[in-house]
Amino acid sequence: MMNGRNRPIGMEMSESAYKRMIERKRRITKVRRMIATLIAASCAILFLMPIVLTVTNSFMAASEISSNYGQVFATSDTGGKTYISEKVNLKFIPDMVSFSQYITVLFKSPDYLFKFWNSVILVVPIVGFQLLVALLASYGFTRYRGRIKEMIFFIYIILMLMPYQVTLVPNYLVSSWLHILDTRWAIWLPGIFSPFAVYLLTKYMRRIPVSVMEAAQIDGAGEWQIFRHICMPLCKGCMCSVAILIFIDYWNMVEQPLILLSDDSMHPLSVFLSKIKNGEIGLAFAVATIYMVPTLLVFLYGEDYLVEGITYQGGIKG
Amino acid sequence: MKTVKREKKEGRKRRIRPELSEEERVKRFRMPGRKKDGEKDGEKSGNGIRKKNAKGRRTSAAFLSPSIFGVLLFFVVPFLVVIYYSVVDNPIQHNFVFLDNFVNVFHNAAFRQAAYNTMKFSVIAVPLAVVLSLGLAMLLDSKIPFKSQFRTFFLTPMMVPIASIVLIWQVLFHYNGMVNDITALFGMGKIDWLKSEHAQVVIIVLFLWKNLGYNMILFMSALGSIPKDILEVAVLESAKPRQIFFHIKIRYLSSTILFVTIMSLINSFKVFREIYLLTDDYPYNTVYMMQHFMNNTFGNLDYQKLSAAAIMMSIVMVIIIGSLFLAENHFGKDVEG
Amino acid sequence: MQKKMSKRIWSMLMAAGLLFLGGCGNETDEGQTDTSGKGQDDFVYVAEYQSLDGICEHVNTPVLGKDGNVYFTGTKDSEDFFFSMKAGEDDVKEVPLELEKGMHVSAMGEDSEGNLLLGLVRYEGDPEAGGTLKNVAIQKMSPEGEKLELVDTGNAFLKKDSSSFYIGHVLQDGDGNYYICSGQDIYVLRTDGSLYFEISVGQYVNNMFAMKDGRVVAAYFGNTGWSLEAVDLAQKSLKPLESSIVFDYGTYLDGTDTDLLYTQNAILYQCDLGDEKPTELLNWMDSDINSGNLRDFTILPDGRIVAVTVDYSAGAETELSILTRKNRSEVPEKEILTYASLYVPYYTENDIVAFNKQSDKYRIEVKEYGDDTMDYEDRVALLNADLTSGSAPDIIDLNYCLLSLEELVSAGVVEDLTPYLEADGTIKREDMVENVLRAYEQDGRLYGIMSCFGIEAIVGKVSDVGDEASWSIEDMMALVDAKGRDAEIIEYVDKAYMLSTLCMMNQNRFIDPETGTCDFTGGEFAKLLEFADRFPKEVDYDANGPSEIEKIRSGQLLLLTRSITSVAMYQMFEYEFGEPVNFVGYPTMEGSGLLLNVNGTTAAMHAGSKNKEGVWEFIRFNLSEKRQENLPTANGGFPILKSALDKELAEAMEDEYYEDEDGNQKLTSKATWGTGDFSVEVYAATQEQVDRIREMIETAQPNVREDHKISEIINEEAQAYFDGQKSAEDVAALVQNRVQTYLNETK
Repeated sequence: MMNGRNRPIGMEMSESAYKRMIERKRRITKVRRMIATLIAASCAILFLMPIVLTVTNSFMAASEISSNYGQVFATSDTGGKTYISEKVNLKFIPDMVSFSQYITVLFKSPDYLFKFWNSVILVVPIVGFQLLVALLASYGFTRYRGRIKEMIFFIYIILMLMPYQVTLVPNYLVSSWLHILDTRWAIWLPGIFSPFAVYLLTKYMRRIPVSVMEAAQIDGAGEWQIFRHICMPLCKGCMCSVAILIFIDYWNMVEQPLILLSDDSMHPLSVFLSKIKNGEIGLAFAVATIYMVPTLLVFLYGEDYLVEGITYQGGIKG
Repeated sequence: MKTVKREKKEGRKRRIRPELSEEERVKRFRMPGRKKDGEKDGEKSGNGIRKKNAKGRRTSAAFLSPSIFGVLLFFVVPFLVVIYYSVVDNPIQHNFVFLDNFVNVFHNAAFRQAAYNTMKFSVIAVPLAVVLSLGLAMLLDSKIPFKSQFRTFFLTPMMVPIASIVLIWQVLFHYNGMVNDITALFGMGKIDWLKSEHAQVVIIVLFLWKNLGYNMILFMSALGSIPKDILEVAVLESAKPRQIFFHIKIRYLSSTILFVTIMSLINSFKVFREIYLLTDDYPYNTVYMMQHFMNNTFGNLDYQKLSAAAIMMSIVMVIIIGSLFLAENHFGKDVEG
Repeated sequence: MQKKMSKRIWSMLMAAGLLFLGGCGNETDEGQTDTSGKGQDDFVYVAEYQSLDGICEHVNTPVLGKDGNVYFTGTKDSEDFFFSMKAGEDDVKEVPLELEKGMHVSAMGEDSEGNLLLGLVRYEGDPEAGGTLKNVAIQKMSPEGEKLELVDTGNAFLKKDSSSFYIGHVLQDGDGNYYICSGQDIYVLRTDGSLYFEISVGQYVNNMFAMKDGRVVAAYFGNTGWSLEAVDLAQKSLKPLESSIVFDYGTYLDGTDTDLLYTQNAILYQCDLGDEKPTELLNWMDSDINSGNLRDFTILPDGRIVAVTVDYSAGAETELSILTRKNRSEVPEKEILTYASLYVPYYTENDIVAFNKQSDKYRIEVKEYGDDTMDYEDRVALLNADLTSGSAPDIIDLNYCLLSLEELVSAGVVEDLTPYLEADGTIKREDMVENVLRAYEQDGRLYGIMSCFGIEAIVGKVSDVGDEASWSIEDMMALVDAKGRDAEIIEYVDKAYMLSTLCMMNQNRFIDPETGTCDFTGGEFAKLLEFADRFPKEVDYDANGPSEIEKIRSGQLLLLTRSITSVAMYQMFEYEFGEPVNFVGYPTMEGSGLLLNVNGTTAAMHAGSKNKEGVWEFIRFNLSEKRQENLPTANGGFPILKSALDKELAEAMEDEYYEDEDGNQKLTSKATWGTGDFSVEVYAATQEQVDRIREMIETAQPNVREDHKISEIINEEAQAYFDGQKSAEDVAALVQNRVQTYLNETK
């Protein structure tokens, strides 16, 4: 790569010494690269270990799991977690690969699948409609920017960044006023109007040169046409990444259903997983694995979109 | 030699923004029939455009309306109710007490503990998250094999639902769990990780595990947008790697660092779900966070206390976000020149 | 690129598969959830009541005929009469029974033709104290009161150990066989009264009735749950009825047009055995009838429903209710008060029904939060949500809301009752037992009145626990040491239970509610831990082991924890322990450990109620003299009203007599008390016993509500000590750390 032309001038060095230096540099780079790879690999192992463990443990028979670490999840009469007395044997590979957990979860007790279905019912409409509402809103924010719009946008950002606990009570009260408490609407509606997607899409749309839209305008296109035929096609990729991010966020929710849906039968699987009791730990790993699958699939499918999506987030202002 | 130097100077002068230049953006979208900025002259069509603009303004407001309606109903109005609750004695009698609730909450030992813990956690975890994720990004930026695989691996924790993973986490950090087995190999005594002064370590590890990938992506994209020519010039000028890092990369990364800091800070406020699932509503006091306080007071019917705490937390958040926002404006200008 | 495509296709396929599976799960569930359809809301059954009490001294064995007549027996001017009257009409037909001397009517039933059967029993001597059975007979009577045949069972029953014989149910089938049920045994007699065969059920038979098809059915709660079994004459045994309907505990009768008519969970159903599910007719509560008081009910040909109820909370008042189906719009509206609770005990149901019935202005409706399938915390959360929102209830059950008074007060949910009490013309503060009243008092404000209470105590021999009113943990430890490891100190007590009980009792030692600080590290908690560690880790209930009384008498079991609800329990426990007993409190580090237990409706007024006058009406209704005086029999507990309490205690000391055949007054027992293992005749209490009860009442403290969070934390951490993983000091430090956080928060 380096050639004589780029050799620093004014440095007295023989041709051979220079070659040696290059050689040494190369070696160092090589060693460095190896070390870097090693570090990256060991980090990767640490990062993946909990996930891999969950998956491998899901192939253990119930007896093996409870004998290995049943005590960790033992519950007392009052429902609290009790203390462990025996040694925990964490195993990477089950003594005997067993599908019994999956068979139970998938075929014997429809309860888990039902809860899984609940998760789907809760999350999918939110992803779809949040995107829709957000697309419209972002277009609104992108066109004809003015002071008022900027202020509203800033409020959106603040709202987006608020931890959930702050809006807990208000959310609850509004749901109760609207008589949607204990119905799925209590989860859907706040989800659909969440400012997150608006923020991300607006940031993206504002990168579309104004000239593009104005050109269309001059050609006689109305706002809806500009939105439909110019903006939306341009935002496809971004929509994908936003959808993925929303999906992860809501697939992971625990608190909202717990508080807003008192009826157990509407709870998503994440709530069940967060309240694992002693008798259920055998199944828990299998259920946990099944619950991971959709997000991992979405991830595999749209990793590039996701990365792109995260990249757009860089910098909070519009 | 001379040519090279000039190039470098020009490079500096141009001060390329980490973001795409206007031309590049336009190119990227490959719009048919696009016109140069200069051509879209308002004077040509005069009034027509202005009229259209006024109409467009109204239409664009219409685009905004569903979202604004929803946000008002589900986020803004509720927030006003919280403000109202924070100044009355209870949700039934509605006696106005002004700042009493705030004073009470401020003097509440649990609130102070929670605020202290949350702050302490953020102060430790956020810089760690920034530095480590930058490290990872640089690692992947150096030319190592399996780069995209590694990226996938580091991103995976972000994708996994926390409820799925908390089981194994409990097993790992249990009093008789695997982490203690490993530390025992080094002759260390047993530590009850979740119920001792070490509890924050577990939470920080979990936090980093989950958030590093996200931050790393942000840094990678920022590293990727540093103009190559500048780096090459620096190498040619035999600048030391450290110099390159501190004088060029950090300078170009500054706005991303700021953003990563903000996001990590916000995520550090959201770490509650992990702690809650790992322990209980009343964990060891070093991991008792602001959200524990809020969640528990909600459970105890104490809306006025909860509202006051929520308002105080919101104010702090607005101040933090606002000042970082201003800081970004400032730094951004500096980079842009 | 190709690789990426295959990755995508693969993941799409997986996703599709998952969705498909999820869809399956959904379908199976929807089948289950779709069963809750009720379409009768436009109609309501309106009840008219008719008291039978004025007709004779004591209404005995009321039976409803299919013709709408009610038949019963009773005494009038010390003569036994048979009465019949048409439901809803006033004229009563009375026929003197002219029974043999000493003979009494034990039960009344029907034959297949509508005639009535009177089960007659004659004892010699006091039947409650070893009197001997002399005669059992069945008197058949026509509905018009005409005496038909008298069937003498001869000596079919006399040879048995018959001191406790009575007739619970009597029936005759179409073939002329008589059926007599006594407790756990069913006897089948031939037409001439001779014994055909007998069946030992092994469980108390709740009811017996003949179905349309002539089969005689026994309903009882067996080992495998609720059973409906028909008498099989060929096999001389019981055979379960076949039906796809799941029957549960309730009152079962033969239906008018259907096989069965029954009440389960306050709802009246009818069904044929072949039906898939029963038809819901009505909810008794809607017609102000307490389903627990039902004795008999039937559907008349014109669609009206008639029921006979006996209400012990109103002094065993027997009443006939005639329910007519009406449009909801025809019914005069009352102001509705909502009663919020996680659980409604029978006595509250009683009080509410009685209140609704007598009030023409208010009507209380119960709102129960959640059901047994839900976590207790989730149920409290539901209630919480309502308490502070717009749909707040008017009345809160202080005992079964599972929120502490402090929580309710700090949320501003409960109203101070003092002004209402002061303004009330009839009920005065001084009329009530002061320290019971204080149970729900805080900072000089009164939030609820415990209308009826028991006293929770530890029962032990005087020789073990001494005759002091209280004892300390050291005393208890010394007792355990003295008796050795084999003796069980309290039945089925394990480490965790002992620890949480001790901690609860000594809460004030560890927790200072004034400053909101706690101190578990001072060594006392470690001492409790060590003490609790002596108990077994787990106790299994041994169904085949010795009974409670055997264990106590042989010294295997030392103490019992019981709620004392009457003076008569003195005699019962002295019999059980075989020597003088003392009721001491829980061992505390100071003071008396006797606790007041709620044993009657304890209502609080919601501060946001729009109908506070109505709520007070309900509270004062429960404190009225009549209801208070009936509490000992209705609820089994002490009344808060001083006059009623004095009356109960005075009555406990009165001897009871009966008149023997020669007209002499002879001492008899007042009641029979016991558990499943034994029973004992109770006579008048001594002055000392009554004084001790009075002292107990006056020193008992309000029951410290167990703070679930604190005991959860303590239990969780203590496990590590019990398992030998951590030292008592480490555990104490952890408990200190977590409980302090909890206390800080609630301050």
